[in-house]
Amino acid sequence: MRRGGRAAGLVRHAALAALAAVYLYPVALMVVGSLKPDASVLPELATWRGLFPERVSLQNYRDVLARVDFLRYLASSAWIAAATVALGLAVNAPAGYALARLRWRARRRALAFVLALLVIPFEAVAVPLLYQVSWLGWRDTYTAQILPFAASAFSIYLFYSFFLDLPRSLEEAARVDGAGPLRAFLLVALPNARPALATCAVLTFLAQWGSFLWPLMVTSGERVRPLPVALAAFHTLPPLAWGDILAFAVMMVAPVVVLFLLFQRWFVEGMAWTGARG
Amino acid sequence: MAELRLAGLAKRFPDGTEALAPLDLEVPDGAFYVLLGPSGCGKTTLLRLIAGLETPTAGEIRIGGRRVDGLPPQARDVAMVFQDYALYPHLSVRDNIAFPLRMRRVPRAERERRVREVARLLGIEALLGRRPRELSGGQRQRVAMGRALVRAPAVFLMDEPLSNLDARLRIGMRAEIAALHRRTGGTFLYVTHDQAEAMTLGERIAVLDRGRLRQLADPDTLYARPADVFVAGFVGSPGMNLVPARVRAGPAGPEAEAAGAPVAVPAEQAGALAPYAGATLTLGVRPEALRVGPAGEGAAWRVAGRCEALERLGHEQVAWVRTGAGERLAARLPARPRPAPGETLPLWAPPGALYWFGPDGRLLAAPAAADAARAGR
Repeated sequence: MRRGGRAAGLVRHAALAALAAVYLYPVALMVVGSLKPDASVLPELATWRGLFPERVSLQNYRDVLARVDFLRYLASSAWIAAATVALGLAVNAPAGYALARLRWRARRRALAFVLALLVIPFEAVAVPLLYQVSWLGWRDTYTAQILPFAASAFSIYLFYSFFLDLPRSLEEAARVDGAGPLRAFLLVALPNARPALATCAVLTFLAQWGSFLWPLMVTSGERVRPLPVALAAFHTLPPLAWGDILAFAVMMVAPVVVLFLLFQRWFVEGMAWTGARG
Repeated sequence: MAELRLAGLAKRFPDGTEALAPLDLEVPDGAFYVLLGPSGCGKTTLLRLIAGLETPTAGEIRIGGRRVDGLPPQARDVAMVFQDYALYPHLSVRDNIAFPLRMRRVPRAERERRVREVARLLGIEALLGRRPRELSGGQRQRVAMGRALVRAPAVFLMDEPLSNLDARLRIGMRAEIAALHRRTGGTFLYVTHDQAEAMTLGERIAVLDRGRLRQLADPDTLYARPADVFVAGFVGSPGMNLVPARVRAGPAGPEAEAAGAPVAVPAEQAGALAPYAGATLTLGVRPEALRVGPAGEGAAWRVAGRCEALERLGHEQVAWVRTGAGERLAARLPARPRPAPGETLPLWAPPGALYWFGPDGRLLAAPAAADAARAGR
């Protein structure tokens, strides 16, 4: 597609570059700030030294690791996110499939129920959920942070619409070829649902990695505390050292970036698929 | 291998549409039967009922004597080739073909041996490592055939397997399917809307229209003695010309008039027409039986009309002619001479070309030659 000439193209690129700069500026401040002495982070924030420091060091990172048990938080976050993703795929894919393909009595009502759940924000159910979790004796556990997020209306809907679009003849061929309904799902439908699996995995992972409110509500100690809550706690831990806080933040974001680089193809595949559906 | 027997098989969809009226059909062991009909006639529904992908409303299905209509698809021992091939995109060609064997827990070595055998039969050995998306349409078609052939099922079901191929490839694959049938000796039931495919492949052809079986016959009979006006108009390209004809009693037997012209009823057909004096029947004449030019003594029906359109087929041409009475007739003519558009063409049919259909559309009388041809088979 070609609209306008070279000049129009330049203007468009300039506009996009400006927009990108707005988004990247805080990220750059975070990275640069984490490498500067604590005392110079805030005073230099609005100056050009904010982005181009006099000297850099990894001292802040050493300080974070010495002051708190960062690796424990990291492990907690990783476990919570990974377990939710695994459980989520195991639960939501079959649920979406059942809604899209199987014939059962309450199917339409179940679908309407799932759609209705989509519009309920988590904050609305957070307090009742807290009661429930407390009653079960799950406060300060990983279970409380994983289990409520495994089944997800959004993911179920995602799989539902994906399986609707998958040619039915694939599973019919599998049935005629000798597979029962379960094997037709596991061996034919599921392996062909990679874009949906990728999207669901990515979105669940990101949501759990960045989740703050709920872990704050159900965790009180250090034992099962994930990174976002740990960061907030670290913030209030004297002495107030902005360089350390930014170093903490960088270390919290880094695993996501690494994962993104490793699984870039999956991220893009998943996003492209959701995007294509409009 | 086994014979397939359908008795009173019917399907009505939940919305009330009758996809298939109660139907009886028997496909002997090792036979190649074709289901032919326009789209929406119920032929694919019939195939899906046999495969177990749809549930019949009534009737029974037996394969090799065993009643299967209550069984799930995987327990029926049929193989199906789908119109869109339905190859598993995530599996290699090898694994696609081996899939039915894997489902039956055939040991790996045996699986590999049979996949190789089928691949050799279909000439796709070089493709075994590829994924379906890396194959051409014709290659995909072969893989789909391979997946059906690999486990020697009781019945092969094919749902328009060639309709997604281009014309040249289609003719080539047609011959291959016929050869495969001869080599495997399997029981085949093949669905198509393409009569050329049906005529070349089918030992017998079941013509379906709006969920009803109109005729079950071998290709020659289907052409020479169509059971009713639907089959007459559907088989042949173009199909038979069908013109309303008034019959009345004359001094020397029944007389008829069609498209404003008298029809000399051949003596051997007079008996069949006699009871219909005063009624309107349908006169049928194949486009290839119509001649152009001044008729000699031998003409049974003479009708002139304006040439409205011309289809050039190279070795011959089809002229579409509108008669004075408003009937539209197709005439298959030699490539030369070529009529000008709008030119008036004198057409005539010999007595040996007349078909008569009753008020209910059923065949009353066919040309004597057609009967003779049938008897001579």
